[in-house]
Formats: sequence, structure tokens, C-alpha cells
Amino acid sequence: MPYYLVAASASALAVVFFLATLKMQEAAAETPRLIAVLLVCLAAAMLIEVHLYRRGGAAAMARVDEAARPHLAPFFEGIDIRRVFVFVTAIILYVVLLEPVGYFIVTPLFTFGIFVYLRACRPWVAAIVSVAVPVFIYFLFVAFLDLPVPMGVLG
Amino acid sequence: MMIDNLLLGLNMVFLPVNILAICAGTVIGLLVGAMPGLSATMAIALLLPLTFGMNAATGISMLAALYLAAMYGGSIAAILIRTPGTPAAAATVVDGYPMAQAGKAGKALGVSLTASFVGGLLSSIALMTIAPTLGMLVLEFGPVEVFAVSVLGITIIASLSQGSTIRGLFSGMLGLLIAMVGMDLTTGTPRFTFGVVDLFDGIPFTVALIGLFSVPQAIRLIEKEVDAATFISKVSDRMLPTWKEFKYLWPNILRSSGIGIVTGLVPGAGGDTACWFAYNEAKRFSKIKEKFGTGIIDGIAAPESANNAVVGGALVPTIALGIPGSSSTAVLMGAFMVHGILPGPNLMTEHADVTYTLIWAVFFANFVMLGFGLAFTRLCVYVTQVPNKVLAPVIIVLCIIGAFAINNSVFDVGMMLAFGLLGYLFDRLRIPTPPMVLGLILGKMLDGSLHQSLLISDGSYMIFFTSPISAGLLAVAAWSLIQNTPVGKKISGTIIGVFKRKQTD
Repeated sequence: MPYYLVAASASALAVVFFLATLKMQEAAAETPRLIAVLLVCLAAAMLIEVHLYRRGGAAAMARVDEAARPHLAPFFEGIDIRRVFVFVTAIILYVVLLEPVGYFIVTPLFTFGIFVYLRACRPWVAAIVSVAVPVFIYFLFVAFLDLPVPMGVLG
Repeated sequence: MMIDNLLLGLNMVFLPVNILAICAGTVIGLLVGAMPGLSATMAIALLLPLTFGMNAATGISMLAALYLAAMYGGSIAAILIRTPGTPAAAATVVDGYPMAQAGKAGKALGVSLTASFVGGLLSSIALMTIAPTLGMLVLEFGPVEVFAVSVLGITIIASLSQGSTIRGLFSGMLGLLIAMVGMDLTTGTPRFTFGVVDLFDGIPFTVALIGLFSVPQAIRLIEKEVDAATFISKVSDRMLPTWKEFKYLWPNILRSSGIGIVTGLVPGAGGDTACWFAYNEAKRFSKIKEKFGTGIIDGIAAPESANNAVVGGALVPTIALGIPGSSSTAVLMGAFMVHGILPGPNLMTEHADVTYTLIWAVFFANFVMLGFGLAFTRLCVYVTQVPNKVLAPVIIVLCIIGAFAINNSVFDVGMMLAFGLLGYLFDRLRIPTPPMVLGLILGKMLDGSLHQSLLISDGSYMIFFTSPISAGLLAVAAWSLIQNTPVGKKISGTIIGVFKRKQTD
């Protein structure tokens, strides 16, 4: 199922790009068109390959080394789905709040929250590391390299 | 005349202020290189104003040392946390991280440092001795030859597809398609931006690189509950390679350094492409091809010697012709101009004191990098003792600030995250991501050079075969593709058989 999703998404992207080239000058459209067509062909080839492995079963899988075998087991097998979901959601929130709230507020909140959720270390250690990391970033990026960092409400 | 200038430069480089500047540049370069999102080009541009108050030779030597050290520094994060510190260290991840996972982080970093040292040394010797000759070679490279280099790079995609060639090619083709986003330089029209202004400059390659390598790594570190005492590796293995290992790696390092020097000469191609070329050639010539990607020293030595050798190569056209060989040397040329020196073919004659001090500075910076690198790296290996659950969010924090720092854009951070989630999905489905990275690097180069070449030839594709350099590179590319097919293997076997028979006769 995931392979179908990847192949379908890539093919859809290729089709969108191909259609967009119809409004372009020929010189600008040539290479992307060729790549889009090749991508759709490779997406189909990938699905055929997965289908052949699935039909061949364990015997087909045993004939090749692990890196060559497609992942035919359920996608989330062997991983803690909730943990991954929470972590990814936290990262998305971090990125969304980066500009309005500011890097030096969101960063310690993110790191402390994740440390506590994962029970990575004792709360006081989590608090120290959560403050130390943005302080290090401040000295390296802002004080030393004079690079702008989103300050948000502190700006 | 050249001997006099070399001696003049040697005399000047040993002034205490210049030695201090080289040391400072090396330390800063190591730090900058090790931080994902910070590049040598950025650091050189940011530190340029610091050199205003310095003597020209001192300031430029410091910046050149920074450039060199950053190339090695990028491998530290690549090996320890699967996050290339610089794009030139992307190929180092392929074997460097698995080696660190196997408990040999020290050895991986030691091989990287040794290879970087030798690559940098060889390229600085080339710079010192044959810069004007190599400079003439640069003039032979136009859009036609650059297109041939891109095609050669594309053929590497298949060999980077560990396991399934189809899935690898799929990944590479997706990378090529995404690389088409942005302004088309030939026609001046925006392509596939869909009205989003942030996409007019295309998708910054470094943003995609950070996302594809680092975010999946951070998620992998927390996706399962593991024993708290499990670390990536322990600080117990020997760092530097043994003499036997060095002798074994020598042909690989020599070849990769040559590739780095020549790639550095080519305008538009730098460490980002050199590391993959060198990795591919190391795999092609190796008797243990199947072990590449599992954590072997060959796979680390090749890209690292190549990316440090690029430094000398990129300085050749800069010094000999006044044409920057890479983005970092372009900024370095700015440093020359700030000090009232106009870069051009007369740089080696009218400003021999500054130029030859720079050349010697690059030479000695390799030794300084070796010394500081050993100490710095030994400290960095302790990162492997940090628990996964602590390391994962810290990696995300560094990725986010790194992605933001490239263009001061939160849009880039969002793109980095999108690539990160895509990278995680691909990793779970065993679709390799290095081919996508290569597609992203080569896409624009391939497209731009193709159109420029066709403009020159009035639409005739024969131009690619009338240029000897282009024809030669395309022949190598064709052989690269055929070699892995049954027909190609039969031809290789026949040729090797004929040679062996002649030897026994």
C-alpha cells in the first residue's frame, strides 16, 4: 500500500509538472517533460517490482540481500506509532510557531517537552539542556556570526 | 622567478601573525563545517569584514584555512549523527554513519581526517607547482563539457542505488524533477513555482540535504524504546588508520584526490559533486563493491580526500585566471578586492607576495587541520555517548536553525521538514535517498548546460561529440551504464581474461 501511495504521488507530481510545461517556452519545457515521463515509467516499474516480490514470497526475498528487498510488512511494524506521531507533531508545531513566538522561546519548550515525554532524562537535566542549547545557538549564530534568528515576541 | 616567489611566500607564511591567522581560520572552519546548515561560503562571507584591519596576506590566508577545515568538519556530523555538516560531506554519510553505528566512530573520523589531510596536501602541491598549466585546462571547459560532466554524474545514480536499481533510479529521477523548480536561466522564466515567490530561486539544495538525512535520523532514534544504556558507539576504538590500512587506502586516496582537483577546476562543480564522483570510482575499482554502504573505510576515504582536494583545484582558476572555481573561492576573490587587489592573470606576478603566501597557507593549513582535527574529533566522539532520546530533539533544533540560516526564511524550514518526512518514508520503504540528493545537485547543471550548448550549436546535438573532452566523458558515462549490465560484465570479463593470459605468457 505505501508503495502505491509513493508511486501515485510521484506520478501525480510528474503529471502536474508536465501540464505546467505546456504553457512554457519549448526550451524551458524540454528537459522537465522528459524527466516527468521517465518518473512515471519508473514509478510503474517500482510497483511491478514490488508486485513480483509479493507474488514470489519468501523464496524471491531470499534470493536478494536485505537492501534490495522491498518493505512488504505493515508500514508501522516494529515502531511505536504514537511516539513517532507525537514527535512529528511537535516538530510541526515548532516550525509553525517559530516565527510568531520566536526561536529562543519555542526551542526550550520543544526540547523540554520532548525530553519529558520520552523520559529521556531527569527533569532538572532536561531543563538545563533545554536552556543550554539555545544559549549555545545564540552565541554561535547571533553573537559570533551575526546571523538573524527569528526573535518573535522578543524582537 | 617562481622559485623566488615560492621562497618569498614561505618566508611570509611563517610570520607569527600569519600562523595565528591560519590556526584561527582552521578552528573556525572545523566548527562551521561540523554544524549542519553553516557552510564554508557563508563563514567566509561573514568573516570577511574581520579581515579589513588585517594585512591582505594574513586575512586571505585565514579565510583559505577556514575553507579547507570546513571541508573536513562536515564529515564529523555526517559520521556521528548522519547529518552532513556541509553538502560536500553527503557521500561520507553512506559508509561513515554505519561504521559509527558498528562502534567504530573513532576509526571513521580518523580515516576521514587522514584522507582529508592527504587530499588537501596533494591539491596544495598541485596548486603550488602546476597552477598555470591547470588554469589552461579550465579554459577548455565550457557548457558542452559541463553537460558531459553532468551526464557522467547522472550515471552514478544507478550505482548509488544500493539494493534495488529501480527504486534508486526512481529516487534519482524525483530529485531531477524537483531540481527543475525555480527560474530557468536560459529563458528567464520561472518554472513550477505556481505563484510561490519563495520558489523562484528553486529549492536550496542544502535545505533538502538537511531534511533528507537528518530528520529521518532523529525520528529513527526515538521510534522504538531501546535500552537506555545503548549508545551509538563507545569511545574505545583507535582513531588513526594503521600503516597497513593507509597503504591499502593509498590508491583510493590518490585517485579521489585527482578527481577532487579536476572537479574543483570545473566552474560550477565543487565538493558537492566531487565527493560522489570519488565514491563511485572507489566502488567501481574496489574488489569488495558489495560492502560499500555497510561501513567500510574505502567509502569514507574516497569522498573525504576528494572534497578536500577540491580546495586546491578551485583555487587554481581563481589564482591563475581570476575566475572563481567555486562559490567559496568567489567570496575569497571578494577578499582580494577588499584589500585593493584585482584578481586576474597577473595575480601571481604583480601580487606574488600575497598569492604565494596564500598558497603556502593552504599547504600548512592541512597540518594545522590534522592537529586540531585530532583533538576536536576526540571530543566530538563523546557525542556518541549521548542517549538517543536526548540527541533526537537536539538534532531537530540544529536542523531548524541550519535550514533557517541559509536564506533567513521560515519557508526553507518548512521545506526542510517536508523533505525530512519524505526521507523517513523512503527509508522505511527502502527507497535510497542518496540518488535523490545527486539528482538535486545535477538537475540544474544538466539542464542549463544543455540549453547553453544547443544555443551555441544552433540546436545540433553533434556538438557534444565534436568536443574531445565532452566525447571522452560521455564515453565514460556510457561505459558506466553498460558495465553493470550482463553484456557489459561479459565484455569486462573478456578483457580481463585477455590481460591475464598475456601476463602468464
